Amino acid sequence: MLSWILSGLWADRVRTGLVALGVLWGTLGLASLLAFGGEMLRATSGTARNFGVDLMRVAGAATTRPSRGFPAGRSIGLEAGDEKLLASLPSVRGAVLEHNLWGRTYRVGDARHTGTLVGTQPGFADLRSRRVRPGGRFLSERDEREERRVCYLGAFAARALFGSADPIGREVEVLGTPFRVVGVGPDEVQISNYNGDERNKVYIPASTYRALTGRRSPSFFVVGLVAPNAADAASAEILGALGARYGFDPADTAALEIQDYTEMQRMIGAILGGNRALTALVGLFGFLVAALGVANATWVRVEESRREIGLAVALGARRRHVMTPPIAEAALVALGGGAIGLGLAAVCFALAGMLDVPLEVRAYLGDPRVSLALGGGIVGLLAVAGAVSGWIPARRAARVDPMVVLREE
Amino acid sequence: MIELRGIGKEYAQASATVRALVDVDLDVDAGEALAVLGPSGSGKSTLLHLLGLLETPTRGTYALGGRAVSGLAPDELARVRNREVGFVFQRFHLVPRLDAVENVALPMRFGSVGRRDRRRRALELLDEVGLAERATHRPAELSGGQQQRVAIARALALRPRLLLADEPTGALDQSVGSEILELLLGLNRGGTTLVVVTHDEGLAARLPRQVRMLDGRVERDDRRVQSSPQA
Repeated sequence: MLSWILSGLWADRVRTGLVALGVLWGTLGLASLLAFGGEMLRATSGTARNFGVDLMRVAGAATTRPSRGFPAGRSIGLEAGDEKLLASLPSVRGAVLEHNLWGRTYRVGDARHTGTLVGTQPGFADLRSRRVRPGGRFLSERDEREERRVCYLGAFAARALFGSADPIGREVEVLGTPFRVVGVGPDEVQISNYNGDERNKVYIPASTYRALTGRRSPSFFVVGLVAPNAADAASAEILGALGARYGFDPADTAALEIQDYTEMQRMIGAILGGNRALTALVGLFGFLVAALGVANATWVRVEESRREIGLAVALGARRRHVMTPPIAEAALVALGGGAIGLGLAAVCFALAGMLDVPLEVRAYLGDPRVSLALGGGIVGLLAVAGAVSGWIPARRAARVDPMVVLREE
Repeated sequence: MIELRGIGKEYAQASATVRALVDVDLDVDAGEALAVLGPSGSGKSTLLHLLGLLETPTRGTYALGGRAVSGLAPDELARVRNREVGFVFQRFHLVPRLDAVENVALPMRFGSVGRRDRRRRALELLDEVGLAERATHRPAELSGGQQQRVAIARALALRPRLLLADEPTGALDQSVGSEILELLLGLNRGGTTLVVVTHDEGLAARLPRQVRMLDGRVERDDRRVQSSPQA
C-alpha cells in the first residue's frame, strides 16, 4: 500500500511538491512564530522579574491638608526604622530603606567609575532581585550591624574598576574610604529602574552609609507586597500607619510619594498576553490554511484519479484500498512538508543562536529554539490535520462508480 | 459457473425509470465461451458489469460458482471480484504511471499478495502473453495490441475462473484484434470461462455461443454444437 501511495505522490510530484512547499513554508513560519513568541514571553517575563516583583516605592512628600494642628504644605521626612513599621503591615511582605547618593566616583588604582551609591539593608537583595555572581554575596545583617566597609558592585561598575579580574575580596575606594568587595551582580537587563541602571551602582550597608555621610534620612523605602493585587490595600495601610506616625491625614495621599510598580507589571503582562493571543491566532490560521491547501490538493488529485479509482474497484479494491491513499497522501504531504519546515526552522534558529546578539536584545527576545516537544507536536498535529483534510476527498473516492468512469473516454 | 434468474436492473433518472435489464435468465457453464451481442442500449454492458459484480441487480438472483452473490456486502463483493473475475476493457485501462509489471500486479496488490510473489507472477504472465521483454515499459511506450496483452495478463493475475471482456478488440486494428481474440480463446481452451461483450458479428462468430440482447432482454441464445471449447 505504501509503495502505491508513494508512486501516486511521485506521479503527481509537481503539485505534491508545491503543496508540501506551502506546508513547509507555513510550518517554518508557525515554528518561528511559536519559538519567538514563547521565548519572548519567557525572556521578557524574566527581564521584568529582574527589577523585582510586586513592589512599591515610598518616599515622604508634603501634606495638602491641615492635620493635628499642622498646616497644609508640611514636608514629611521619613526616617530610618520606618521600614519595620512598613514591614509589619498586612499587605506587605517586606520593606527596606534605601539611601541614594548620585554621581559618586569610585576608584581602584587608576580605574574610575561613576554611579549612584546606594546604602541599603540585606532584605534589598530579595525584594529587588539582586542576584550575585558565584563566589560572592549580597550585604549581610552583620555588615549592617557592624557598619562594615563592604560593598556589592553592579556589573558595569565591576567591569570598569577591575576589568576581567575577579573583584571579590579586593578593595575599592568609596567616599574616600577603602571598601572590600563581597559580591558582584550579574550583567542583566531590567525593564525598569530608578536613579540609573542597577549595573552602574555600588551598594554598601545603610548603617555604614549613614556613618560616613552623616545623612540620616533615607531617600525612600522599597516595599514588597504580598500579592500583585494588594497595591491599593497596601497604599491605604501605608498612609494610615505613616499618617499616624507623622501626624498627617491618611486621606491626604499627597503626603507620601508612592510609586506602584505593579501597574508596570500589569502592563507588561497585558502586552505579553496580547502577544501570546496573537501568536496563537496567527498559528491557528496558518494551520487552517495549510490544512485547506492539503485538502484542496487531495480533492483535485482524487478528481483527476477517478478513472484509476474506478479501475481499482473493478480489479477488486475494497473500501480501505480506495480510501487509504487520499488520507495517507494528505498526511504524508503534511508530515513531509511539516518535518522539513521544522528542520529548516531548527537550523535557522541554531545559526541565529551563533550570532553575537547584544544583551539588550536577548533580554527581550531570548534565545529562540525549536524544541523537540514543540516540533513533534506540530508535526503530529500537521499529520492529523493532513489525514483529516484527506478524509472528505477519500469519501468521494469511495463513491466513484467504476461503471461510469470506465465508460468515460 | 453462472446462474442468472429473473434478473432485472433499473436506473432512476430525472424523468423516468430506465429498465436496463428485464427478467434475464442465463446459465453459463464452467469453461464455456460466449459472446454477448446487441445494439447500443440493449443492456449488454449492464449485463457484463452485473456478471463482474460491479452492479447489483434490482431483482432476481445471481449465483457465481454456486455461491449466491447478489446480496453480498460491498467489501465481500470486491473480494469475490478480485479472486473470481478478470476484466478486459476496450480501452485497456492501464495505469499510466505504472510499468507493465506493476500494472499486471495491481489486482494482486488488492488481493494481499506479497510484493515478491506479485512481481514473480506478473513476470510469468507477461511472458505468457509474449511481453516479457516489455516488462518495464509504461503504457505510453507500448502499442495498442501490447497494452491489451498487458490488460489480459492483469486480468489473469489471480487465476480467475471468469474472464469478462468488454469490446476487447474495439480499439485495435483487425489483425491485432484477431491476435487478441486468439489469445482470449486460448485462455478459454485452458479452462477459463469467457464472456465477451461486442457488437462485432465477425468476432462473435468465432465464439461457440452468442447471446443476443435487445431492450434489456435476452432475445436469442445460439450455441454452436460442433465445437467444444475444451477440445
